[in-house]
Amino acid sequence: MSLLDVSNLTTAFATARGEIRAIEDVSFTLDEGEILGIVGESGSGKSVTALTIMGLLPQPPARVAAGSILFAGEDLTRFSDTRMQRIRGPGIAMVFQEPMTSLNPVFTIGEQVMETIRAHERLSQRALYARALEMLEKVGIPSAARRMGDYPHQLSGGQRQRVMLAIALACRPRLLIADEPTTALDVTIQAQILDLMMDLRDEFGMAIIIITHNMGVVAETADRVLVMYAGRIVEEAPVARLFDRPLHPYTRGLLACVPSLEQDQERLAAIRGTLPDPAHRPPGCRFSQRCQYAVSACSAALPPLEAFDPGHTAACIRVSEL
Amino acid sequence: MTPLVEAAGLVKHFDVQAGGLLKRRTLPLRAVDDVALRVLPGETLGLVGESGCGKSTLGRLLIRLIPATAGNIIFDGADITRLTAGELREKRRGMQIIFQDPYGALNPRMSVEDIIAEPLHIHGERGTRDTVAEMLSLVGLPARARERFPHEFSGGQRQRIGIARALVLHPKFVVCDEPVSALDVSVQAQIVNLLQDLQRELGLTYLFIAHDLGVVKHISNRVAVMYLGKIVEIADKHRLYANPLHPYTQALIAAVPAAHPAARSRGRRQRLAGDIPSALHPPTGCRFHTRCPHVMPVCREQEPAVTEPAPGHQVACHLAG
Repeated sequence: MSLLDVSNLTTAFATARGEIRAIEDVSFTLDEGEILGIVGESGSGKSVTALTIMGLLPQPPARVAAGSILFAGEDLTRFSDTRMQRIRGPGIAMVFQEPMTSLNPVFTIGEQVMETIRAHERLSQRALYARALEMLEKVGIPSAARRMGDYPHQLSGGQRQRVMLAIALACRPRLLIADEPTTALDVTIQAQILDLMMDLRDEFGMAIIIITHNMGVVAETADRVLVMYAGRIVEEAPVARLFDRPLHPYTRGLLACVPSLEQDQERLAAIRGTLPDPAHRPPGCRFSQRCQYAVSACSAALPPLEAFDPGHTAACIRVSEL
Repeated sequence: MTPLVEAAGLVKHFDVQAGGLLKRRTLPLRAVDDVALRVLPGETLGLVGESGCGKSTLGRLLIRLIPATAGNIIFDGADITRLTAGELREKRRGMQIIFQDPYGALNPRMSVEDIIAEPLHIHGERGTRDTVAEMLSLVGLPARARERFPHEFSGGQRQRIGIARALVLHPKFVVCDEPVSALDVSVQAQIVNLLQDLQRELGLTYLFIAHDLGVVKHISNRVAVMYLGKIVEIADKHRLYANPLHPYTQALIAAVPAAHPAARSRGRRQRLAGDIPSALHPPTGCRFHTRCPHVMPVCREQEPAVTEPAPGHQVACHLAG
């Protein structure tokens, strides 16, 4: 049994312009200790997928319109708020892009790590302190004992993201969801944080979902990759396979439009047009209006996800011809 | 070749309030500290570095969007640090800037036509309607865009409006300050291609500021690397990426995520430890010595001089000297 089994998940938002489906028919599984990359641009639905799994979307306006989220065999979409609270922490934990807004500015970082542990485990003050200190040391906060008393504003962006990881991992979750964890960080700090996440996975054996728009971050970390576009999964593959033989024209475009450090290119291979407005998505394949291979049949119906090789699926009716 | 822009001894200090209520004092934040730089006509000079290194401040100094604390900047034959306001206005037609944030850089209450025509009005030109139409077509926007407002456009389209505004006065030199960083990846390439097309068509000279080393390598002829207010290395792009001499440049290139999972860097590339120090209290000697894997005693005491180990390749490091 997979640790996480998401099937046909659809999350809708009530808006002034009617109900908008932020994600539609999203299905994937994740095993213990596995790292799944979810790649997409703005409006692809990657963050909504994560927040739906975490049960962190305000309902209303959000609503799980269809599908299920089996975590360790139990359907999270049927859980009450209190049961979800018990899952968040020891079951599933999350780190966000902007560590400054995720930390409380008026509490010390030591207090914030201890608070998370206290919410789930009955420990003496001394044991709480020891566990919090241990976590801060594990994530590489220098002179952690002294930094326990620091406030978030006294730390750099990279150190704050380390503290967020310490909080997320304090209750030893089985699944960590990291939503653009290095996007706000400089490249030398990004490399440190990605290394750290891989080290922590090796040590604790938790599964990780890493959400990013950066193909390089996926190449560095993921075992398997989902590519999302305009609310739907368009391709799924083991990571090496995706980079070697991308099937969907959108995935190909994403890989091609990033300038390479190794080779010189006369001109970048741009994807024409812009991302569709969620309220006015094109009929049929949502990428069809930007796709250089589109034919009239592409706008007729949503292409289903089809398996082309074991573990490699794509939603494009022209894959076999391209 | 005579440079289009030449800066020497350029310094910019910002006064920052520091200390508590009782011990309040003013400290100079050395955003740009003794920088010398030449930009050649028709080239793209890339400027890279991490947040807080002073790259945006340097870009703004070079077109005198902000005044320098010390140093001179020769632009097109005149020292723009010494010009009167009237003389500067005339020179300013020749130097423009494209900003990072296409959402914040456009006035939401102005129509696209008014945004693009505003620089012309400031410079006392009339009959701007045709010029605006010409600019829209130049940056790949439909003519009907003129009556619309910034919020009706996507990020990439807004950046096109920002480019049209920057080019309407036919400048020679354009500072591009992270022009694609806020855009989605699939849209970034469109804007990079557009900037390159416009450069070719109009003979523009660019200072291209970015933190993405791949984009900078693609678009630049030469690349300068900044760290804590100093340029630590500058060279032809192929030379810089193939043979970086400064340990900071080496670390920056090593930190770029792999292009393929088979080339994963974890455990194989040396990582920089620690964070960028505060520009309020820059380290003594070489400013990179607190993070440098090759640090020597001399690095803590003495600031390294700029040397030129190969023609056009300059570096400020005791190891390279």
